[in-house]
Amino acid sequence: MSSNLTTDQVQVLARCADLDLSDERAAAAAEILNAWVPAANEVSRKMAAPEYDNLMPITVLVHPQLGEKKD
Amino acid sequence: MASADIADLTLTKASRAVAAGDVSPVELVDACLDRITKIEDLAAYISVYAEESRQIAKAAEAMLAAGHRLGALHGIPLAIKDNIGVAGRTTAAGSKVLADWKPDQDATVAARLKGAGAIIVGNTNMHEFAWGGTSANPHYGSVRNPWNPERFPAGSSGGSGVAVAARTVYGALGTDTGGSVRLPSAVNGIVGLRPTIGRVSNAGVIPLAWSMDTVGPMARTVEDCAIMFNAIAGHDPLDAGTAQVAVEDYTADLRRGVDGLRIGVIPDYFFAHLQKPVHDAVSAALDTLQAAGARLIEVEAHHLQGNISAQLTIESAEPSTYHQRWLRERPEDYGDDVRLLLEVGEMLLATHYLQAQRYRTLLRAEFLDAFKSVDVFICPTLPFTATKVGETLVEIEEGTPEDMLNVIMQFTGVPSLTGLPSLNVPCGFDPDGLPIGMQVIGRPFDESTLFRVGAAYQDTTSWHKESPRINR
Repeated sequence: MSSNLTTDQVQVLARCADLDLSDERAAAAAEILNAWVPAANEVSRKMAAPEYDNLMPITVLVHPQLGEKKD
Repeated sequence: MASADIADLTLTKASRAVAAGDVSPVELVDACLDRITKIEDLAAYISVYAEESRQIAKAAEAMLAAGHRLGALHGIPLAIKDNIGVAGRTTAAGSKVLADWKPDQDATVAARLKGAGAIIVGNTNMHEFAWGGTSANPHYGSVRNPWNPERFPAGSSGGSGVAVAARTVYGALGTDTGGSVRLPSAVNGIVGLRPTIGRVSNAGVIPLAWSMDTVGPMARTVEDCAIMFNAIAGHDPLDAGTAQVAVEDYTADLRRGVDGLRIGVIPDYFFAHLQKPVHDAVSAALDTLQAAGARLIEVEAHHLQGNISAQLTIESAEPSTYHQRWLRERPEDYGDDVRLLLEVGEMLLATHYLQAQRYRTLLRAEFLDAFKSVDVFICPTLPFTATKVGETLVEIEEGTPEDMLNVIMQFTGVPSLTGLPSLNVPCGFDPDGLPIGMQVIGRPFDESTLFRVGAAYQDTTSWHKESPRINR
C-alpha cells in the first residue's frame, strides 16, 4: 500500500461490509488498519511466492489426526 | 488446619489431604470462599456460588464417608473463565451482550470437571469476549495483579490467573487463542497449559477465533495442571474439532527428569526484543535445565517473520464473523476497545485471512521439521513483565513505546498459529517483584513431555512457591 488509508476510504470499506461507522470510529479504525494492513500485505506477498503454491490454508476443518502423534 | 493454611495448599496436597481425611471438601470450600472475599478489590470474579458450593462440598463429604471417591479432583474447589458454559449459571464471557445468558448444558470441560468431583465455585473475570490481553473489563471491572494491584494481570483469562495466584482456588480453567492462558499465567506467577489444538473440547465455550481457540488448565504447580488436564483432555463427539488421539495419564512422567532431553532455542527471535530481566530469568532457567542433564540445541527458523501479523489477521477476522449480528444490533453494548477491534476485523480482506491461514501451514511445517532434532523449544512467554493497569503501550526498549497487542503475542503466537502445545512455567521475578514465565513448546499431543520439563524445573526451583501478599 503506497499511502495510509483515510477516514473516507475506511468508510468505503465499512460500506462494503454493510457496517455503519461514524467518522470518529472510522478514524480510529483507520489508525489500526494503517498499522495492520501493510503487515498483512507483507504476509500475502510472501505466501504468493511460487514455492508455496501447494500450501493449503489451515482451517477448522483440518485438525491433527493420528498421523501426527508424538514419536 | 487454619483456613489460610488450607487455602495455601496446592491442588495436589489438597487432594491428598482429602483422600487421607485430614481436611474435608467443606473446609476447602470455606477456605476458598474466605480468601475470595479478601481479594474483591482485584475483580478476579464475575460470579461466586458460595451456598451452592457448600452444598456440593457436603455431598462430596458424604460420598467420601460412604467410601466413594471420584478421583484426584474429588471435593476440590476450582474456578472457570466466564466464557465456559455451566448449566443454569450466567455465562457472559465478560460481556454486557450475554449478561443474562444461562446455558442449558455444561460445556464439555465443565461437565468433565464436575464428573471428576471438582466443585466450581465461581466464574472468573476476563477481557470482554476474550478479545484482548489486559482483562480491563468495562462491565465487571479491571482485573488487577495480586503481586501489585497497580499492575495488570494480562489476559484474556486474567481473572483465572489472579484467582489461582491469590490462592482463592486450587486451579482454574482459561481459554487460549493467542496466549490467553499462558500470558496471565506468566504475569501472575502460575502454571498454565495451552493444549494441542484438538486435544480439549470447545463444546459449550463461547468462541473468540474458532481455528485457534482451546481451553487450558491453570494452577500453581505443573503437577496440579497435569491432574486437571487428566480430567478434561480427550475426544468429544460434541466438538468435531477434537482429535481422536488416545489420552494418557499426564502425571505419569512427572518424575522422569530431563536427562538427555534436547531443548531447542531460537536465539535471534526468542531471545531478541525483550526486557532484560525476562531475558536473564529465562536464560537462567535454561542453565538450570542444562545442569539437570538437558542439552541445548540452537535452531534456525526462517519463517517467524510475519507471525504476529498473521495472528492479528486471523484473530480479528474470525471474531468479527462471530459477532457480526450483535455488532449491528447492539454495538453500544460492547466496550470501546473490543467494538473497535470487531469493526476493524470486518475490513480486512478475505485474501489477507487466507494467506494468513496458508502461512500457518508453512510455519507449522517448519516447526514439525525442527522437532526431528529437538524435543521441546523454550522461550520467554512474553517479553515484558506486568504493565500498569490501563496501559495500551509497552516499552521493551527504553523510550520506544509499542502497541501492546502486537508485542504481547510475540512468543505465544507461535504455538497458537501452529497448533502446538505450550506450557508456561514461572521462572523468576523482575526487580519490582513481578513474576516472569518461560514457555515450553512441544510436539502435537506431547503434553506429557511439557509437564515432564516443567516438573523437573519445579523440583529444583522455588519460584512457584512464592505467593503474593494477600490480606489475611
